[in-house]
Amino acid sequence: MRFGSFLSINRLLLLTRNTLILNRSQLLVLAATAGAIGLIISAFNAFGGDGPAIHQKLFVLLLLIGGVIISGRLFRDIHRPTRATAWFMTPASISEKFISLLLLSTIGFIVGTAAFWFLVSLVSEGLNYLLFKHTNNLFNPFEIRMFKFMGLYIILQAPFLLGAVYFKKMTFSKTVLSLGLYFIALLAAALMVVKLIFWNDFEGLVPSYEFLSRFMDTVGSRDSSTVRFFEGLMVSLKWVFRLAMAPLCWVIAFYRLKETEV
Amino acid sequence: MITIENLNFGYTQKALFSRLDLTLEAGNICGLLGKNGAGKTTLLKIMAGLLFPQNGRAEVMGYVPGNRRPEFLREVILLPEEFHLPSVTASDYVSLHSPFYPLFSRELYLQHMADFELDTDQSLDAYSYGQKKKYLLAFGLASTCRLMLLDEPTNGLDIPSKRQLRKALAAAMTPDRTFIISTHQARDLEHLIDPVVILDSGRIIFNHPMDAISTHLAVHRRTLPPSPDTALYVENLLDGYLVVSENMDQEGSSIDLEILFNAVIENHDRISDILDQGGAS
Repeated sequence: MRFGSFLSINRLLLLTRNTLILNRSQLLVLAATAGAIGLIISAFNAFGGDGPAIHQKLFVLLLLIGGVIISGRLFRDIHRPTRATAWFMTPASISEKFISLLLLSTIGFIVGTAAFWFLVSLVSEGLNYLLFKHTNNLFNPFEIRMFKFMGLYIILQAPFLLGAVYFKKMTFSKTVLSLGLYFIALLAAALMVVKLIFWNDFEGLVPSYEFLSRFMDTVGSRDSSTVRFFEGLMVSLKWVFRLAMAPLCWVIAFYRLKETEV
Repeated sequence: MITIENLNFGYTQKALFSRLDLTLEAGNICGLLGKNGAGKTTLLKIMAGLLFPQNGRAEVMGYVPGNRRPEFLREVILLPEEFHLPSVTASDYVSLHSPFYPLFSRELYLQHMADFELDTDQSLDAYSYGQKKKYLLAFGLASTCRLMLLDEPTNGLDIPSKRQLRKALAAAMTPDRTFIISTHQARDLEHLIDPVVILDSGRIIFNHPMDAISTHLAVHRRTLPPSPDTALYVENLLDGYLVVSENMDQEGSSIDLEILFNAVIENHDRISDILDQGGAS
């Protein structure tokens, strides 16, 4: 297959433009609602509420909660037969259609929300100063802390994007439920592995008191090689989670999309 | 243009197509007829790449439809029976979607819009169902794609619109272009359709050009009951009988597609034998 069949920048831009234009009224309503809420909260907060960094907090809320809700609705067209026909018949590859929505919901959403919230903070603090002579800090999207939240959003958003491809209805709640079940299953698997390794130290499914005491003593002695091993393992797992979670969800979502029939 | 071999497809446990074969040449307006639930829409969706064969091969214009490659998709327009149009004006829709079709002709689009009496500045939301259908048809014809798949195109169209549709399809025909029309309203398009393809019991039971049909089959009105030996199909009328029989004169006769469909469903083995052997004479 030629690369042009797989990915054409021109078609990618056309798809992105069309998505924005066709959803502009919904986006404007959402932005206006979020902006209005931001103005009200910032006005109340200017009188000694939750500290001067209120816009940073509101941005993080909007990014994480708003982002996952929007991501959960990204592929709703493919689950409605009349819309799905038009979606799949548009002359662009599945990879272009997927990448267009992925970019819009990750980089596009982060940049757009950051720029928008900077404007909201500018307007709200201008109004606060004019009306009350009290202000909060302006929103600064270039703070290191904000970059961390942006990174967290990309990881958090990925399962919701996958859920949007997988589930036809109630994608948000079904994704939350699936994530809950996934983590319970992971925990159960980890418990089984520990039980298999320390078979004699378990009473049924629960570790024995002696085993737990020994474990706590070991954890207490910070220079223990076991503790260092587990600390290293936890750090490695955290990085695997950070680096692999989102790409894994994207790849699964892409192949699921490729196999979707109408 | 279209080659389907040994196609198997079904929903859940129920098989819909079993070893279905179909070959269609370019430059025709093919009428795809079948009873309710025969799988006409499903077959169109497989040709469009919206559904994947479970077994067998489907090839359309040299592409495997299920791969959904952009080069293939820009050559195919599917006009489904139920569709969604966004809340934009007709001209905005063209601006948004026509760039995906490199051979899209704005001139043709405006011409079809005028023929269908559609306002280009009107919101698509404000169009009636029939107008929306004509709009999608105008867009599809203007895309100059090589294959148009039309699912019940005359449903919801008023009488003048049906005439406009026939006129537009006839004018849009070129040697490398194919229309496949799935319809229950065979009479609406019967002077356009050629060949006639009939789908029944998961297979293509009939696939013949109109000239062969009209040369080898004839429909007559009779006042007396016809002989079962010569009659391929008989329909009771108030004042007699409508009889499909072999055309012994071998001169082209007018064939009503609905009568032909009923005859083929009832007696497809004998009818196919007559057409396959080029007549009994």
